[in-house]
Amino acid sequence: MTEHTESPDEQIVVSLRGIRKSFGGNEILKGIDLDVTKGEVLAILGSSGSGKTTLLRCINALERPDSGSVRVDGSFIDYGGKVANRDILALRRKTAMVFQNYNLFKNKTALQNITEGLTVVQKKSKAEAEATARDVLEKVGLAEYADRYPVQLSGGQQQRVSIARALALDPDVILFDEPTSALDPELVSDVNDTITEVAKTGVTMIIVTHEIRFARNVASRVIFVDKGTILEEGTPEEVIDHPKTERVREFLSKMAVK
Amino acid sequence: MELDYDFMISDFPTVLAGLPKTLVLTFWSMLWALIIAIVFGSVILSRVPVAKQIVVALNTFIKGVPLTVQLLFCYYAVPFVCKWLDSIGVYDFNPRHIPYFPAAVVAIACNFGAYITDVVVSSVKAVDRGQTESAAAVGMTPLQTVVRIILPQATVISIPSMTNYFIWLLKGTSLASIINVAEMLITAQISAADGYQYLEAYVDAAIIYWAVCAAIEFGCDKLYKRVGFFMQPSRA
Repeated sequence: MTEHTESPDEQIVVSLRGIRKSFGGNEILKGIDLDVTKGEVLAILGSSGSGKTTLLRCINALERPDSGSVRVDGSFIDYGGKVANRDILALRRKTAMVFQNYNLFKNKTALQNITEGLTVVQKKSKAEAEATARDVLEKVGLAEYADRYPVQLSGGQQQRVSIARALALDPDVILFDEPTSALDPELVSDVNDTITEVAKTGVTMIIVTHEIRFARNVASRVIFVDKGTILEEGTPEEVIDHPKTERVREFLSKMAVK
Repeated sequence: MELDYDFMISDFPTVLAGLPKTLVLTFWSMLWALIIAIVFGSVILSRVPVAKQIVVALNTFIKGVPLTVQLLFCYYAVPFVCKWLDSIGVYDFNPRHIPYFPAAVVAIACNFGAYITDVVVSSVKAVDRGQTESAAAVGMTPLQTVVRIILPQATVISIPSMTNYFIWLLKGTSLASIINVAEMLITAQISAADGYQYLEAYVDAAIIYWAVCAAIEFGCDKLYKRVGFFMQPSRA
């Protein structure tokens, strides 16, 4: 296991070292090391149960690793020792997440979903938060849906609001957990287009996805997770077009048939 | 046998005059039941080690004892409590006017508080786990998450069950008649004593109970649809 360097490279935004996680004696992550640089769009591929979602959730401590360390920008947590709640809060405030099931706050309008984090967590004024919220809603093409509640929006619209919510927080990294897998097929491209647009603005993103073609288009780097370890890593051309291992070839051919 | 409709009509206002006492008893009992339920529910949900076990034990005990027994217990306990309060100088005890009304409130509030605790706990647990994760991912503290996200949703989820217990409690106040609280049932009973026209008086009481409960149910349903629309399953 490599150590964090004394003065971390300025470009490195997310840095994981030796992340291990078990559920009920079943080891899901077997010591993952991963660095993500600023502006990078990292796609995490792998079959169900490979540990890719758990890996993503370890970054913002929605799952707490059994051991290892996580650094996001200046926030550092070493799971080898006792972890303070305020360190977890500090780390989460540098990240944002887009969930598979959108998880918009049901009791808040689209606009309030976005302003909530800005006013409550970042302590911005209501006016400033609303201006930011309207701006990001515009970016995802939902300006006129600001006052709708999540139940009044389609799945695709909800997910785009959720992307806007993440963007508004201006985080160091946005984590996407299979952002399109709960959507009707016809709505998938809308959301994927939105993510692609966001990627162009230079935001650092880590995307867990099942969609090879989308990963191929949007990612600057791809990792393939298998049985709790990173099996392959490289540019989309390297991993998706010219996989080195039989396991990845087999996975890609199965996905292509779908 | 023939019902005396004339008496039934003429007695109606008399029985109705007992309604305010029933409503006041309902109000205070429901208020304290809610307070008990929220405190008990918070202890159970926060999983405070020893306190949780005590609350759960207390809860099952209260639910396992009939309301009638609790009312009678409070009825006979009142003089002791009053004498004690008198001895420490916070209450002026007059044995001619034993305060049975508070005794009824205590009994009913405890009894329903135990049941409503379950509503509080299950409503909070019914809030989608994803909502908590989402709030955590945004960087909210656990307290912010509870106050701003979980409680507003849990409150809406609880409305239908709360309505049922509210109605049940209102009808349950009629049991307070056994400990000399002059609520509506006892008013009906007294009004019928002269001519032994109990059946007519009780029919009057039944009609009033039904009308009030129907109104509460209607109102709560409106409220649920109005404030709770955002919790309905998504149409899209």
